Amino acid sequence: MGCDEIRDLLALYAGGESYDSERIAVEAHVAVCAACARELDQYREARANLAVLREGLAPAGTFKSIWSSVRADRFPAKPVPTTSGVDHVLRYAAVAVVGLAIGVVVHFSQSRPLSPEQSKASTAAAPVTIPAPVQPATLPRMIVPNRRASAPALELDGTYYLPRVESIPVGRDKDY
Amino acid sequence: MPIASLAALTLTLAVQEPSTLEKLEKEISAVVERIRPSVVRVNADELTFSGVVYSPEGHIITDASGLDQAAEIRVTVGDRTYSAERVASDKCTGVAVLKISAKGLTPALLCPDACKPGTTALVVGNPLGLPTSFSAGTIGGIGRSIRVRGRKYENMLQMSGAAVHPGDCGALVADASGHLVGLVHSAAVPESAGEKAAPVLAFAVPAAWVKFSADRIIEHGHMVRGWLGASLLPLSDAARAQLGLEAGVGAEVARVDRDSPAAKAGLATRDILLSLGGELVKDLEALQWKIARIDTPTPMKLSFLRNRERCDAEARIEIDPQK
Repeated sequence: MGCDEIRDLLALYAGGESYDSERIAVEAHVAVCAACARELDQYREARANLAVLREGLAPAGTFKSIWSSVRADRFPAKPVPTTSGVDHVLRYAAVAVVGLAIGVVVHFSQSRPLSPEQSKASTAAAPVTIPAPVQPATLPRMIVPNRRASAPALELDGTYYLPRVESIPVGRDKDY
Repeated sequence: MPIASLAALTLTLAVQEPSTLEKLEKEISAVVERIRPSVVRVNADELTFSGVVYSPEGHIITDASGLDQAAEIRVTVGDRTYSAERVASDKCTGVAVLKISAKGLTPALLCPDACKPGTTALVVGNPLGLPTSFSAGTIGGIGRSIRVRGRKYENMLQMSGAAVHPGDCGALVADASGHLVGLVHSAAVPESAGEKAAPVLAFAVPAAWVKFSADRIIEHGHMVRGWLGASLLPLSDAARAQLGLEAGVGAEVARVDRDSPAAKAGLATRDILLSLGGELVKDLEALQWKIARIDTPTPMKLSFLRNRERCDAEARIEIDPQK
């Protein structure tokens, strides 16, 4: 496994939540990769810090004071723009144009291309409107990223042979 | 003056000798290019692995276990594929011989000397179907015994460092001069590393046994090898001293096969074999060669110690039934 895949597993490993195969892979990798080993140390340190937190009630007003500081830091106050009547008209116009555009796109996407015969007929004679049969809707399958998924397996176009050694006998006897 | 210095520097760089590393790189590339034409692809039904051109007449050597029960065998040399005939195989070494109707083949040159630990191992095979791929390592050990698919294989070369992957079975292992020192046989993966882990050690049949098996099969059309039917262990110096034997002499009988020539001669487990065919038992590998080279049933005198008493018998060395 490469550094990217190992980094995905470090947090799980530090929390003792990885599978055996992942644990082996992480241990083998951090033994030779200083960057990942450092990152693992940071995860461990973070967990150690979390472990010293105690349950209990905070003094009254603690959250309010922390939140006001965080809010001031993350969301500084901005001047609110003033809106005129013209702005309102423009907004309604923009919404109407977008709605019209969506309608046009839906209309053209539902009209199917004609076959050569139909195409010829359409030019030779007056068009006859035949209602199209209702097609079953096929929705694209949603791909849900698997957080624990590893790299895609190498796809091979054959079965490649190399027998595995079952055991290495310790005895020094030889057959004659 | 600066122009003269620059010119001198340019001249110095131009005539500078290539580094040792560059020379090494070029030499390895040259050796690999030389041995590549001798490596073929073997397809046995759906299995794909490797093989080596053994003779210009179209004999191909590969591993026997991959050919088990294959209905159709094909051999690809370069960009041409041939239908292959299975000649025979040696179950002791795992070497199989195939025959194809092809001309202009480039047989591998076999290393005339025994391989030693530390020898460079240049592996050319078809890992994952990638034709004539190269990987380098060293021979880490010799005379290894391994068990593969329920069968014991002896005298194997152990390779370290070379990346050997599925598809490399039957690949060519060459030394630095490009001579075949072994034929890739199998690979070891630690159990803890999981099913899909890459091999950490690979094993190869040494050239001497490859040649022995291939020559016998080509000569006879099937494997012919002498068989005593016993397993022998080297004797320790302490045991020798206790038994009053001279240095290096004797081997302990570890196992006797049922209905074998050894069993028929009365040899039993824990006997100490002293001589065979009138020669003292000293070098066990030499003894193995001596018995294996027998190609017709041959009577041989043997003497052994049982409960410190010397016994003499005659064993009729048979041809290995290749069970």
